[in-house]
Amino acid sequence: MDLPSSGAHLVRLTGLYVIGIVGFVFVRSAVEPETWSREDSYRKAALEDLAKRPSIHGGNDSCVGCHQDEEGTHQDSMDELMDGAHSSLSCESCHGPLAHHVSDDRKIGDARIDYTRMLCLNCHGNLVSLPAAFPKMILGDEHLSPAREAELLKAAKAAGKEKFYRHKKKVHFGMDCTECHLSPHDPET
Amino acid sequence: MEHPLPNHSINNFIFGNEAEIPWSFMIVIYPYITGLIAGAFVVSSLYHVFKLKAFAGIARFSLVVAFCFGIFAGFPLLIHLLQPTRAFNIFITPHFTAAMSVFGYVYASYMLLLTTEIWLVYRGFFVEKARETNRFIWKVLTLGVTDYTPESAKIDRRLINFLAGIGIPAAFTLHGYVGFIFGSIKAIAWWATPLQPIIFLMSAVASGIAMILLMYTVLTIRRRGERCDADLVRKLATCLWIAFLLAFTLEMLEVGYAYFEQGHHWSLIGPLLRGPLHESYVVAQIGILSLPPIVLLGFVTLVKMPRLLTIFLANLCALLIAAQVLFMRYNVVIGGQMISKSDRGFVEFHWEWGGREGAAMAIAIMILPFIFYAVLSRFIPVLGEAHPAEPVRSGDDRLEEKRPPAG
Amino acid sequence: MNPSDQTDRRSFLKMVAAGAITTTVLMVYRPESSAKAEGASSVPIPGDGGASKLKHDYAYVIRIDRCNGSGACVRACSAENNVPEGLFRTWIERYVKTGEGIYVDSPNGGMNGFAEVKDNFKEEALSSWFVPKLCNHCRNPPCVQVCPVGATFASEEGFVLIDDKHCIGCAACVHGCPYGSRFMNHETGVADKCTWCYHRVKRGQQPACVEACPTGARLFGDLNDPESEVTKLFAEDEWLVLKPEMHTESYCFYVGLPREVI
Repeated sequence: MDLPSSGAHLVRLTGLYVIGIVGFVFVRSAVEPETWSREDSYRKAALEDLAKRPSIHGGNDSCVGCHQDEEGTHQDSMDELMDGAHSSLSCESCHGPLAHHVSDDRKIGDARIDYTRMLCLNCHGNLVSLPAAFPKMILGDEHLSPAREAELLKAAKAAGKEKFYRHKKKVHFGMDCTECHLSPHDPET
Repeated sequence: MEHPLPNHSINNFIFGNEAEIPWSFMIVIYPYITGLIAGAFVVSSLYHVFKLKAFAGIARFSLVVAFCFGIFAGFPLLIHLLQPTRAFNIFITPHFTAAMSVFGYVYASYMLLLTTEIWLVYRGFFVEKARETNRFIWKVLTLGVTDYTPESAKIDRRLINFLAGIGIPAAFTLHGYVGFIFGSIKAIAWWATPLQPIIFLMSAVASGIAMILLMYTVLTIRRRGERCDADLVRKLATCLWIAFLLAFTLEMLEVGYAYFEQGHHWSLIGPLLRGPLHESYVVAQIGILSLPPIVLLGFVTLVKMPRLLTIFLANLCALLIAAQVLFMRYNVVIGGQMISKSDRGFVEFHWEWGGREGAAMAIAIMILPFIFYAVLSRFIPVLGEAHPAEPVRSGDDRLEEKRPPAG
Repeated sequence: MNPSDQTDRRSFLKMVAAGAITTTVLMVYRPESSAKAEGASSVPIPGDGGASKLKHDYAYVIRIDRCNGSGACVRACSAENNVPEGLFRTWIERYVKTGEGIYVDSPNGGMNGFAEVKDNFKEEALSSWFVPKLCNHCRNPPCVQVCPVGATFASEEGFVLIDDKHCIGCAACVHGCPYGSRFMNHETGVADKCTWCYHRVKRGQQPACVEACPTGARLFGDLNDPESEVTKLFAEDEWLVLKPEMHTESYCFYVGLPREVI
C-alpha cells in the first residue's frame, strides 16, 4: 500500500487554517458596524444616536408663554426675575426641568415650588467657602466668634452687601425667608 | 487613616466616581493565568529550543499545562466585561493606540500556535489510536492521514522546533502586553513605569516554572511506578531561582527608583505602601513570599542535600513563589486603583465572596485548568515516556525501530 | 584563502554597505507628502481663531471666584442625563486651606449643596473655595487612547463622547482619565461621562449645568466665535488647566484656580 506523502497532514492542516482564516475575515467584515470609520476609529452613527437624546431642560424662554389667560403667568414671573438681583437664575434650577412638567404641550406634572428656607440657604447660607462678594445670610442663632463676624462684615461692606447682616437680629432658624420676602423672584421687594 | 496622606491633605478625599473599584479579582487572575501560560511554555522551550536534555521529560507536559491554562485565559475577561456579548468587538474594531486592543488577535494566534505544536507532538499517538480503535474522534484528530512515516515525523520535528522558537516571543507578547496596559496608564502612578512589561514577564516566567514544578511533583509522587526525578526538580528549582531573582530585582528596582527620585510617583506610592497596601505588599509579598524562597532556593541550588529534602524545599519555595506572583498581581491591580485621582486619599477595596467578581468565582476559574488537565490526561499520555511515534530529536534512531507497521 | 575569495568578499561587503546607505537615506529623506503629514499637528491649538479646520472649537470656562456651591449644576445634569445615584458627570469640590493642611470634601458630589464645614474649620480657615469639576474634553484624551475597541472617541468639534452601542464595558477608560470624570454606569452597563450635553448643543442650547448655574461660574462657548464670553476669557489668558503635567490638552479652562487644586 502506498504511504501518504510525508507532508500530507500539513497540507490538510494548512487547508484547515485557510478555511478558518477566510471564514473569520468574512464574518468579521459582515459584522463590522456600517458607519465605522477606519481613519477616526469610531462609529459615525454614534453622533446621531447621541444627538437624538431629548432635552430635559428648556431654558427660561421655554417657560414664558404659558398660562396666558390666567393671573400670574410665567411671563410675569420672568419680568420680576429680570428686574431684580436674581436675574442670572434659571427658572428650572428652582422649579425643576421642563420635561418633568410639560410634554407635547400638555402638563404632565406640577413644577416644584419650594417656599422653605432650604431653597434659599442652598445658595445664601453662611458658608466659609463662599466667594467674598457673594451675599450670605447670617442668622440670629448662629454662633460666630467676634473676630470672624468682623471679618465677614468687612467683606460684606467691601462688596456693598452690608444689608445682609441685618438678618442677624431678626431671623431665627425656624423661619422661612418667604415670610418676609414675598417673591423670591425679586427678593428685594 | 494613620499614615500621612499625600499633598498636605488632612482628610482622606476621593472623587465621587471612584468609590467602587472597577477592576477586581477577575483582572487579578487574568494576568496570573496568562503568566502561567508563558512560564510553562518557557519550560517546554528549555528542551525544544535550547536543547537542554534534562528537561526533555517534561517538555510535552509543560506544553499541555500551558494549553490547559490557555483554554481558560479568556474566562475572567468575559466575566468582567459589562457587555460580554460584544466581546467580539476586540476582533472587529481593535483600537491600536490601546495596548489592550491586541488581546483578541494575540490570544487567538497564540492558542493556534500552541494547539498546532501540541497536535504535531501527539500526531503519532493519534494515528496509533485511530488504527487501534477506529473511533471517529481519533480519525478526526489525524485529519484523515492514518499513516505515520519517519519522513513526516522529521518534518514535524522541524516544525515543532520552529513553533517552539517563535512561540517564545509569542508567549511573551501574550503576557507582556498586559504589563504594557498597566505601564501605559499615566494617570495611575503605581502602574505607570516603563519597567512594567518586563516585571510582569519575569514574574510570569517564575510563576510558570513554579507551577510546573509543583504539578510535576504532585503527579509523580502519586503515580505508582513513577518516581519523582529529584535531579529534574533540582534543575527546575535552579531555573526558578534565577527567574525569580530577576523578577524580584526588577520589582524592587521599580519601587526603589521611585523612592530615590522622591518625585510625583513616590508622593503617592510612599503613603500607599505605608498605608493600605502595607500588609499585602510589604509584609506578605516581600517579607513572607519573596525573601524566604530566595534564600531557600539558593540552598537547593548550591548545596548538596538529600533527595527528599530537595523535593520538599523546592516545592515549598515553588508554592511560596506561585503565591507571591498572585499577590503581586493583586497588589498591582488593586493597589493602583486605591490611589485616588484626587491625589489626596485612598480608595478602600471591598471584596465579596459571591458575585461576578467575587472570590468564589476567582477560585472556581483557577481550579478549572487543573480539572481540565485531569480529564485530558486520561485520554492522552502526558507525563512519562515519550510515545514511540512521537517525533524525538532528529538523528535519534529510536523512531526507526518502533515505527508502527504500514498498512 | 585565494585572491578571488578576497575580491568576492570585498565586492559583497561593498554591496551591503551601498544597500545600507541607500536604505537609510531613503528612510530619512522621505517624499514630500509624508514629511508634511509628519510636521503638521493633528491637534489644533486652542483659540487659534478658526485657523484650525474645525467648524466649531468648543471650550468650557469655569470661574472659581463665582462658584457658590449651590449644586444646581449637579442636579440639572443628573436630571438632564439620567445620571445614576452616587455617580457624577459633574460635581463640586470644596477646599478649605488651614494651617495644618488642605481639607477637601464633596458630599454627594455637591448635589444637595454644602452644609457648613466642621466647626473648627470655620474659624481656622485661611481660605476656602468651591471647584466645579467635569469631563475636560481633552484634545489629547488619554481615555480615547486606552479604549480597546474605539467606543469612546473625540468628535471633530472637540466633544469626547461614548458610543453606547459599541462599548464592551471593560472600564479601561475609567482608569485612563486622570481627572476621575468617567465611571461605569451600572444601569446602562457601559462607560459614562459628561458629554458637554452634546444633544443640547446640537440644538443650539447650552449644556444643562451652564444653564442652571446661578452665578455664571460655568461658561460654554465656541472659541471660533469672537463674541463669545468664553473666547474673551480665554484671550485674557488668566486661566489654568487641571493636571497640565499629564499632557491631556484639557479644554476646560479655570479662571482663578488656586494652586492647591489638583
